[in-house]
Amino acid sequence: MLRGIPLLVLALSVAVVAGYVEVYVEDGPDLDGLHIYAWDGEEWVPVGVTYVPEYIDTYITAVGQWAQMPYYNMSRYILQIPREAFRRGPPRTPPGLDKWTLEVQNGTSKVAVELAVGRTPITKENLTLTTWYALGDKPPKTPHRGKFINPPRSPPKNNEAAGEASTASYAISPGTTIYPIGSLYFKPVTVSGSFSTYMPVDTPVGDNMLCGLLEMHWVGFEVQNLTVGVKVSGTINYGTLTLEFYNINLDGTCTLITTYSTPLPSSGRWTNIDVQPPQNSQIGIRIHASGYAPSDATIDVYVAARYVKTVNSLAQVATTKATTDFPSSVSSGYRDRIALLFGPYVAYDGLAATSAGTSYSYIYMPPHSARLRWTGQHCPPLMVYYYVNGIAYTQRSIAPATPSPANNYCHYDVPSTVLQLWARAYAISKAQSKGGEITISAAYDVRRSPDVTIFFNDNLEIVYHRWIEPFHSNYIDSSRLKPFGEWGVMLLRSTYQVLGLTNLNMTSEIRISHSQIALSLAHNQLDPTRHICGAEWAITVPVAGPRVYYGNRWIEEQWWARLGRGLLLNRLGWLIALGYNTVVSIVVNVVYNIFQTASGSASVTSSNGVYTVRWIKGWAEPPPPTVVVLLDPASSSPSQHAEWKYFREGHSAFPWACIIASPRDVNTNIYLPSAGARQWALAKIWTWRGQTDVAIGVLRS
Amino acid sequence: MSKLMSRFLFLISFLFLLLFSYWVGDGVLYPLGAGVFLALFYLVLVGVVFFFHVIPNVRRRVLEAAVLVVLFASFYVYPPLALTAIPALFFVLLYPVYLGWRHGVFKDLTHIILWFVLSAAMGVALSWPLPQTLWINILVAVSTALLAHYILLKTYPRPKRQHQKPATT
Repeated sequence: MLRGIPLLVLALSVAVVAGYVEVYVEDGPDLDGLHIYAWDGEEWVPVGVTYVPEYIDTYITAVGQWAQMPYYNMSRYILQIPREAFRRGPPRTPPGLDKWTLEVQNGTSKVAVELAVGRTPITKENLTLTTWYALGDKPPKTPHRGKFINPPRSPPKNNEAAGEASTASYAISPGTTIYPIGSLYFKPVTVSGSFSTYMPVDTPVGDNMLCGLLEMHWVGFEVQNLTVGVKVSGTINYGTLTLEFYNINLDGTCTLITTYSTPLPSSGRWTNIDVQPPQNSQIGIRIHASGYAPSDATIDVYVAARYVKTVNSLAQVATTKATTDFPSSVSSGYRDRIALLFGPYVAYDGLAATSAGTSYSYIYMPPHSARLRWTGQHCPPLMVYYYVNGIAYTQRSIAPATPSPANNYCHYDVPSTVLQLWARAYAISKAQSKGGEITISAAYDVRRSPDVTIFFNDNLEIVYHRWIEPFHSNYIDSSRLKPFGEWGVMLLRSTYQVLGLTNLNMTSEIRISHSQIALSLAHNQLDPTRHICGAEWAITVPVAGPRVYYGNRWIEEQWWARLGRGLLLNRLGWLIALGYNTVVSIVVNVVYNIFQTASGSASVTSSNGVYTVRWIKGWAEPPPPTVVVLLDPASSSPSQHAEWKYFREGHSAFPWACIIASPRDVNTNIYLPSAGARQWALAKIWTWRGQTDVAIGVLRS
Repeated sequence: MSKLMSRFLFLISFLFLLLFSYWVGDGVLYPLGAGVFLALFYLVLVGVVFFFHVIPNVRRRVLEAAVLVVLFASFYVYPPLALTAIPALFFVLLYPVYLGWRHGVFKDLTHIILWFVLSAAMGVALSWPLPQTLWINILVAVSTALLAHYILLKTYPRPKRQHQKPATT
């Protein structure tokens, strides 16, 4: 007993940092959306929650490499509880909150701590005491182990509702109420000494003033709640972060609706803020930071706004598709558990979430098989765990194909699985400064088998619907003007991303205004000798007059190419006209192509209502970082419904030829607003800048 | 050099040309690819013209094909050199015919014109129902050119003249 006391003191001295004790809770309830408080002897103070990861050896399919990656099942976390809470019990639980008891054990000693838990935060004067959450990156070191013994209303077990979805669940129909999530963008600010500053708005168009107030970020209509992430690099004392919500009036003035203040947390945390602004008003937000920094400190604020919108027309939503080429086989040995990670995929603002917290999406994990070398008599079942953005989604047990090993191997056939993106994982990713990226992982219990191989038969696919930012729920109503009636600007209607294996990461986008269509392509390849040298889009939008831009630079034909092409056309045009069926015409066409493909070029062909747009990189120019093919609508009133049929990319068998690959099925719908919805108004197109702004001038015209 | 060797060179070049065209598919040839394509096509044309005869100075023909490849590869070094592709085009098309005329394969100009017209007509007729892909077009064009050449060799009246030993070119 006497020997135990110094150990306890030592443990406490390690765990007690800045006046709080870290308590590790395992297999606890998910604390999502809850505010947790402890009594510090004088008042209720927020308890910080840091989720603890499990690290798994992960094969990242996009780069073909193994890495240790963190995974969270949200039932393991560290609570930061004020030290005084262990000494003094609270007088009574605040109204609106429930009393939870946490039993904390350190060695043989046990202490019960009373906590106040609820969905509504405690407010002290104008300071809202919020519980900040974080995704930790280290295993717990504290000797204190905690267990909730009587949460009064038992919260649902983690991922209880999760399960397989259907591919039809991503489809939005008119009349549906959806909850789109998109980012508000602020620049980081560096402070020193006593400071009081507004976070600068990160606007690509340089517009950071609304109704005469600087650093006002346009939020828009029908905002419901925000997920705010804050990252402080350095030390800040007595820091406060204040969110100021304004109503932007039609006469150009602003009215302060409410402010929301909260202490500046330490690095890398996020919290949810529920606001109740008038749903039919334009909202603006300013974020103010104040406090004292002994030395230079940097504050980053990331905001994901969740809206509530009614779908009146499918033109208000767009579709994003992403796919990863399958790895033919992944081999691994002598590990307890392995995981395969697909992604990260580009995640666009406007993910359409449901009221249940899922989203209008499907993630198709293809069927695959696993083979384990096994020396036992009986093959064990194979447990497969699925994660979306590193957060546990669901799991399944796969029975072996045969009860006993065949030739010392156990075989498993893992059927295809359809998952959904969770709004929570998406918002957390945004609040964690990861931009809402999407990753999908499958983890397997392989029990230190010396030889594990996983075979895939198909590609992974993700399809999700996005709300298009400038639209209001009632955009069709012509009595409403700013800014939701606008579609004169380029709107991002459809996107397609391909993550190839080890060499290709490519994103193609289709933007449409009522007067122009833009197809864009951005890619990187790890192998510089195999850059994309061409692309082909098959769409049912009638188009004509293609112009090629690299970035915002129009591609001009070289003088010698123009001369050579002219010579062939003018002097030998009759030979070309013979068509591709004589020796002469074949040879002439090959030489003609030398001139035609010297610089980047684009062409349009059509057949049976499908318009095929093809871009070919010039052989006399370096690989462009981004390609934009600008097109004109071929008819005065484009159809309201169109499809993106397929996409093909060209691989440069440098310097022999540009070989166009097999078609990749896209098969997504594009809905355009009706002619009556064409209203000219100034849209605040920079709120969800990933959707409407592109960093190249050509698309702004 | 025997007729067998001539046919062997033709078949090898033709096979590589078809394989190369199949690989390119509906893609685009860049200069080096075009150089290889035209070099193979040049050898195929020489092979067609001399399919029923003996190719004169084979090593020189292969060297000329190699020079074509080098010429097109040089476009990457100085792109305006691509203008030389036009004379190269005439060389690929006309030099095999010139060689054929020089070595008595073609009897006269009418023979050459008839060969062109007949092979073009047969090519159009044969390729009409077929998919318009590069390798199929080449297959049709070369095979009809060879067939037209054979028909004319069998039917075109041989002018009465003294036998003359062809000069080495």
